[in-house]
Amino acid sequence: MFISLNWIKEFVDLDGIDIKEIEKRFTLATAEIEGIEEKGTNIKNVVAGKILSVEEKENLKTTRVVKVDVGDGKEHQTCCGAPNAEAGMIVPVAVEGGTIIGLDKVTARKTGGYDSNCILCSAKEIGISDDHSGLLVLPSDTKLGTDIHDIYPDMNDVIIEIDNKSLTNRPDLWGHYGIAREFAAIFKKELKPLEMAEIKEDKNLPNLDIKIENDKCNRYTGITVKNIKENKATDQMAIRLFYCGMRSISLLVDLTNYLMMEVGQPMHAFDKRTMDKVIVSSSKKDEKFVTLDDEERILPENTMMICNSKGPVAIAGIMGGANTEIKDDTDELLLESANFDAGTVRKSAVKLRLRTDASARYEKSLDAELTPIAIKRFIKLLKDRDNGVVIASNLTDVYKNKRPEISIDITKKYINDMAGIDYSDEFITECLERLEFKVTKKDDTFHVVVPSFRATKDISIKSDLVEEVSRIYGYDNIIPTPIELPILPVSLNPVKELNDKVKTILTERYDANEVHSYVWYDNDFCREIGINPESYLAIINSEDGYSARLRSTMYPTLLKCASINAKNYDEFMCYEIGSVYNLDKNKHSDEKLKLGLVLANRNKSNEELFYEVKNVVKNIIKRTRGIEISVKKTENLFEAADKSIACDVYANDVKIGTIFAVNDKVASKTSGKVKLCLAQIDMDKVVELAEAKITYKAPSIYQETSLDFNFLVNKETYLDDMIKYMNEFKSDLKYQIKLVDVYEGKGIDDDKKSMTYNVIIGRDDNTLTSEEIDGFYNGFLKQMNDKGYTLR
Amino acid sequence: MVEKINQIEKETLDELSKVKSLDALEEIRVKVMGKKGSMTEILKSMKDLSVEEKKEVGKVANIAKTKISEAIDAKKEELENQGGSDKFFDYTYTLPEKVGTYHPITKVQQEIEEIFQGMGFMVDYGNEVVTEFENFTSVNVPEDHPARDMQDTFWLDNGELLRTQTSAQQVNVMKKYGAPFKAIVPGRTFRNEKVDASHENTFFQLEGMLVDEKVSVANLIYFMRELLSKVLDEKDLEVRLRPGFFPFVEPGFELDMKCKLCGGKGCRTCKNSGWIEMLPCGMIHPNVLKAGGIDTEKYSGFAFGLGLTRLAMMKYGIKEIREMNSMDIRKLGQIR
Ligand SMILES: [Zn+2]
Repeated sequence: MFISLNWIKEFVDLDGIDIKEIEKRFTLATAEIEGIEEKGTNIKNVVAGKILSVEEKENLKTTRVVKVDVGDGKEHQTCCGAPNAEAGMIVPVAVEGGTIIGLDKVTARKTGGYDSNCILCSAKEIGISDDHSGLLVLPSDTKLGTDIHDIYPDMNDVIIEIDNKSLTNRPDLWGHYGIAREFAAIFKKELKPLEMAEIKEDKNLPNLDIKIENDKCNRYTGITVKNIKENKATDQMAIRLFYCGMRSISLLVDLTNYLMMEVGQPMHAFDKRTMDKVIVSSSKKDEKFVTLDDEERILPENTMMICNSKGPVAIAGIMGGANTEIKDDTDELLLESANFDAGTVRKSAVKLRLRTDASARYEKSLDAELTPIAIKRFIKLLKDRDNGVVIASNLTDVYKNKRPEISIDITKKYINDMAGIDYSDEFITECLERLEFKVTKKDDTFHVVVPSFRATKDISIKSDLVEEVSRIYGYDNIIPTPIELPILPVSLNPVKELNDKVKTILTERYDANEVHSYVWYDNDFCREIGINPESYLAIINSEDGYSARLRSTMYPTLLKCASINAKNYDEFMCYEIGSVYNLDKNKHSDEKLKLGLVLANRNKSNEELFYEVKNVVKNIIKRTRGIEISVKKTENLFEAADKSIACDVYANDVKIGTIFAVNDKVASKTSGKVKLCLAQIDMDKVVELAEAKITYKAPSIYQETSLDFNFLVNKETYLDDMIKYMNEFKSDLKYQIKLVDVYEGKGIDDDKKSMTYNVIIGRDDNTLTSEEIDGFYNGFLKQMNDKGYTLR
Repeated sequence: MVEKINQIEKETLDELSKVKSLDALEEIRVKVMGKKGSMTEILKSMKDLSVEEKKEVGKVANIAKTKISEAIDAKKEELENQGGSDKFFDYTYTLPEKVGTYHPITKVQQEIEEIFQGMGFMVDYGNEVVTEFENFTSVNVPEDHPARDMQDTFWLDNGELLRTQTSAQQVNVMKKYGAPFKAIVPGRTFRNEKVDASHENTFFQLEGMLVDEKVSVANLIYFMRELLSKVLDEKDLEVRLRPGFFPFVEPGFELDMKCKLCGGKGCRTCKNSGWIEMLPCGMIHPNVLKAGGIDTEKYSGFAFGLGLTRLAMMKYGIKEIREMNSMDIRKLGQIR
């Protein structure tokens, strides 16, 4: 929002206060100032001049040669393109050396052979409007040579830009008067009252017919005024509006805007001819309405509308309609100053995708006490401009929902404890009174009545008052104070411990790269590689235009990661610990933390990658939980998996994850010739696994014996099955079996493979005798032969 | 034959004098004295000689053998004492390696978590998909408040949403620990925005809370100043508070840090203000404390939010925010 310092100075005397100081104090006490711009001072050597002659020349297509007199006795000439240039006209002339918008220095030059040593200016060129349609015409009685700054004293101003976001909770600051009040409190200055017209009840005047049928309209105040002859705002008003980001249109429209920017109350001026009565009601289903900007809009059902007897004339709090718009010949108006419910206006504006300066203010919860104030101020300014206007109705006011007064009881102790400062009683009272709170003190308690313009939502509890006092005191004056707290041991979060440890293992032992991704699928990518992963939750309002489906598995993320990096690397391992989402039976999100891992290699087979990943997973679980994993056939195969090179991973009989190689069809589309193996581990299940205790076992002090067995077995024999069977062998001796080698190929039948095991046998109490060794050997071999495992 | 022996002796001693490594020495030993060595062969061929000749040649051969053996031993000792060979070795060569990396946010998050743990804070996480109640209502955002639009929420088809702030976790944490407590909640948060070089819809925040008896604004300023100097590893950090509006705190603040680049005079980095906006914070709103079951007459506290993504970008000088979620290890594979 833009604030004009000239305008502010109408209400509070800021003389002697440096703009830097204003910026600093206001930023610290109220809201962030985003920028300060000096206006007018950049326009130099522009004076009033009279056009002496305008000549067309054959060789000049777009300009004419104009001679001007600026009262200095010299001849000035320029080639001017303005269509309205006419002899006798008084216009702003930038003389040699002058500066205007868009030109740093006016110099003497030649155009088409004609001397040109000055520039005749449009309003845009002197920075007081965006009108560049022709020359700015000055009053005919302007003395030649008068500096433009003397003609428009309001063009010299300082414009302060305040961050709108930091005013979200301050509806009272959406107008100059509110800002002036804040300045007055900060700098301990007096706030001048707002000058208003006195409007007395007149029995001879009619009351307006106003009906509120929609209870989201809190108050509707109106008046009619007739005999309006003047159509143009004052220069001062036009310049202020322009500097504050608005365009001057006509006196009545400008006045409504001016009032909105001054007291913060949006107003609307209807052409009285079209308004027989005012009804605040709601739109019907599929109703259409043409707004002021000549757009036909389909109204969402139950949008709050202002209507006359025929139908809607304005969308309440947002925009008026074309049907009741002020026309050039309008000489009687119905002025609306109303208060609408913030949420209702906000929702309609969002649904209509139509946010206006008015709706932005209503959204902040405006003070309903403002409506008659705005009308009285409007009438005052209108009469100042056009003293022939006549009030044609009583000020009619329907006040449906009046907010209760808010008062807060608070002690000095409460304020000082929370602020960490020792404020005096006097300071607290003075601060609050400057901000127009009413303060009475009884014993230790301040009874504080909140002014209506702060009571709409901003201030309601004790800590709000702590803020009011402290921000005026200045947060930079508060002395930072250490907190004294007992030191207690902290219990560590097991999820954090597990996550950190897993990341360390993967990054530092396996040299993997950690990545972060989005929690939804990349639909285009999935389509490209031909997968259609399941999703149970979707975003319904994504800015990026697609319906984002949240991931229920990490695999598509991992494939995307592989596809990005396979372009640059022949081998890599990437991982992410992230969430996936399912639905529980109540349709609530069921969020689980997963470790997703992808191993990629151009020069290895799927089988090799699988075994590597399996070892990584095994190591992670062993390191973090001390548990050996086991594997089983995968129950639910992901669509991108190679169905034979896949397994589920278990720890303590709890399924904790899945590993699989990516099938050739998906892999070739994802990463070309680079082979991929994926794993997903359920971190929430791993964190719950009890950590296995480590019990120390001393090695046997007696000599142990090592036996090697080389079995020839069916090719389709699982190692786990074989080991399990071997361990079922009953013996008095202690034995430990280890696979040494697997071989298939030359010298072995196609359907067989050779598996070599090393078995260490021994006793705790003695060295083995050769009979014991033979006995074990023969017994073990027999048990193996029974199952068809024969020595090679 | 004697001549031959003398020749072998001479040649061998000559060779030995030039030997530079133990391996070469061993080679010579095998060549001369080994089972099939030149000297051994000669001695073998002595069996055809007469007794007289054997005696004579044997004597010469023994002397030669002893000399060579002694020379070898001497050389061996010499070489061993040298501590290796003189042969060229390229110690500048490095084996090809792959170095594992962490995501930048992980490093920053872990550092900050450790700082907080050291100060006795609990670390907590919480879900990314939360209810409207958790994200808004529980932290005192009224039904009709523009914040519900302002924050550009990703709404889900089951009526839940992707949390827009780690503050969504505040009330859960209060209920979990009860007053007094200190806790941080780092995690992923979301905003419904179009992604470009400086806008992301997915980023990391860290919510911090401290609740105890008599916690004041003066405490908050002190704490935040100390914390930031630790996190940013900068001494003599200057901070200031100015009003900021967040429904879950009252009073609420924006905390600024004095710009280090210009010393507060104003420069491009601080947009000429001399200050850099660092984090939102404030005294926890009584409604939020109440929602968390905390006695507001006895306890007060403050809360603050740190942008982990922003801190990570500052720390490593990452310019484009969207690189953080790019999964591209050419860009991200740098943080050891
Ligand atoms: Zn700076």
